[in-house]
Amino acid sequence: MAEIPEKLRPLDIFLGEWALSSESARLAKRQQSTYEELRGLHDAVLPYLRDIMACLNAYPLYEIPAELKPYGYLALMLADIDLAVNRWRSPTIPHGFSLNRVAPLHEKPNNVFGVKPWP
Amino acid sequence: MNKPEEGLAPARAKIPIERYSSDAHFRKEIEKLFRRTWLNICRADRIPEPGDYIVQDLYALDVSVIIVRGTDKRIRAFYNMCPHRGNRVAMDQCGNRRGFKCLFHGWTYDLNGACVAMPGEKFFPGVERSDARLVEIHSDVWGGFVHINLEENPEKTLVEYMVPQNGLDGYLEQTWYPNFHYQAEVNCNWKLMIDAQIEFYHFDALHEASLAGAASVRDHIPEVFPDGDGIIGHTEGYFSPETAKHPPTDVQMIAQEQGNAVYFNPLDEGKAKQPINAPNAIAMSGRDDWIADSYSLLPHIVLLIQNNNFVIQRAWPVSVNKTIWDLQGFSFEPQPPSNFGEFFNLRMVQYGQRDVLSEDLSTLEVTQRNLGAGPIRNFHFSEQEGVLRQLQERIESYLAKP
Repeated sequence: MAEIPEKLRPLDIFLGEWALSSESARLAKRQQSTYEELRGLHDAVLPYLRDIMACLNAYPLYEIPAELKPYGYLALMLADIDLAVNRWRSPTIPHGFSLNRVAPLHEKPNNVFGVKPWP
Repeated sequence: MNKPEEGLAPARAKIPIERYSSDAHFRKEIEKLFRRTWLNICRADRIPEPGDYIVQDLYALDVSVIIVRGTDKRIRAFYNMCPHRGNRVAMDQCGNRRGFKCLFHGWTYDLNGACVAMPGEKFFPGVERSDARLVEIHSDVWGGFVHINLEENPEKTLVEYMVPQNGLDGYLEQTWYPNFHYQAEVNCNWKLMIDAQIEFYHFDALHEASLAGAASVRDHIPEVFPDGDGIIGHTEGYFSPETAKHPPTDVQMIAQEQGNAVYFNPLDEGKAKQPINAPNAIAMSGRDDWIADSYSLLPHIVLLIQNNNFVIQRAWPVSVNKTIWDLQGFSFEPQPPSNFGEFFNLRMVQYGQRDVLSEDLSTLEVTQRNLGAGPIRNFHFSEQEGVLRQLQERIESYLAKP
C-alpha cells in the first residue's frame, strides 16, 4: 500500500464524483455538468495540480499504486475541462460539432492505431 | 520562402460550388483521383512483425484493404476479398496472423497472398491454387506512412509522386509515438473538410473564443507547389503575443512544465523546438515565434505540425455529402511517456485538438446544406487561402486526364 501524501488529502472530497478513469467518462461528466460546477472543481483542484504531478511522478507511469491513481484521474478531469472552463465558459462548445459524435478509437484495447492506454 | 503565385488572379480565385455538391463530379473524383493516386493508410511501424496487419475501409471506393507484413519482413497490401466468392478474409481491424482464412468456405491464404488451402479442391476442376491468390495492391512507404495505389500500373512511383521533395519525408519518417485517434462521420463533401484545415485565415473568427490571435494571419503567406504532385502546399503559423487574445491557461502552463508537447501556445523560455530538422519544409522562415505548419497532401490528407507533435487528418469520401473524418495524433519525445506528468502533457494536447476541432467541424454540415441554395455559385479563395486554390487546381488537373 502506498501512503497517500497529506497534502493531497483535501482533494479526497472530489474523488468519488470526479476521479473518472476514462476519457469517455470524463467528457460525459463534463457535458452533464454546469459551467459553475466545472469552474468550482477547476478552482478547487488547480492549486494542487503540481502536487499531484510531483506525487505521481515518483513512479513509472504503469507502476503508479492503485490508491494514488484517482488523483491522476482528477488531474485528467482538469485537463478535460480546461478549455471548457477557461475559453468557452460552457461544458459544451457553443455551435461546435457534438463531441458525442466523435469516437475515441484509442480507448479500445488493441486499437488499430496502436495507442497504449493508461491505466 | 519562395512564393510561386503572383497576386490574386480573380479567375483562379473563383471556385464553382458545384464541385462540392455534384454527384457526377464526385464520381469523377473517385475514379480519376482516388483510384489513381497514392493513398496514405497507416504507419509502417504499426505492423513491425511478420503477420502484423491492419484493415482499412476505403468507403466510396468500395474497397477493403489489408496491409500486412510478410515473413520476409516486406509490407504488402491486398484486397480484403476472397477470390472464391468475394467475402472478406480479415474481419478484425488489426492483429497478428499466420495467414488469412475466409470464414465462408475456408479458403486460406499465407502472408504473401498465396492460397494454401482450398477445401474440396477436387470439386474445382480447372481452378489452380496459383490462380486463387489474394489480389495484391501496389504499396510503398513514404515518410514512415504506408501508401497504396489501386491502379494496375501506377503512373508514378510513390517517390515520384511525393514532390516537391523538400525534406518533409525525413521529418515524418522518424519514430513517432501514437498518441490518440478520433473518428466521426460528417455530412459534408470531403473537400469542405480539408479546406477547413489548410488555412489559418479562419482563426480569428471561428476560433474567436479559443485560439484567436494565436496564429497571426497578417504576415504569413502560403507556399504552394504548382509544379508538384502529391504535395500541394503549406502554411506557417506564428504566435503573436501582441495579437493573441488568450494567454495560456494555468493548466496549460503546468502541462508544459511536465513535457515537450505544445498546443498553439508559445514555448517556455529555454525549451528547444524539436524535432525541427526539415528546414525546407517546416518552420522554413526560421522565426522564433513559429508555432505550426499545416500541409495539404493529395488527395485527402492534412498534416498539422507543431512543436514535438503532429496530427494527420484523413478525409475519407463516403458520398458527395458524407465523409469519414479520421484524426490521428503523434508525439515525438518521450516515447512512451515515462511518468504521469509526461502523460498529462500529451493529454492536454489531445484534448485541445479534440475540442478546438469541434469548432472546425462545426461549419461543415450547415455549409453543405447551403450548397444547393442557388444564387451563390462560386466560393472565393484569397491569397491566404492559396493552398485551397492549389488543391482545387491539382484535383482538376487529375479530372482532366483521359
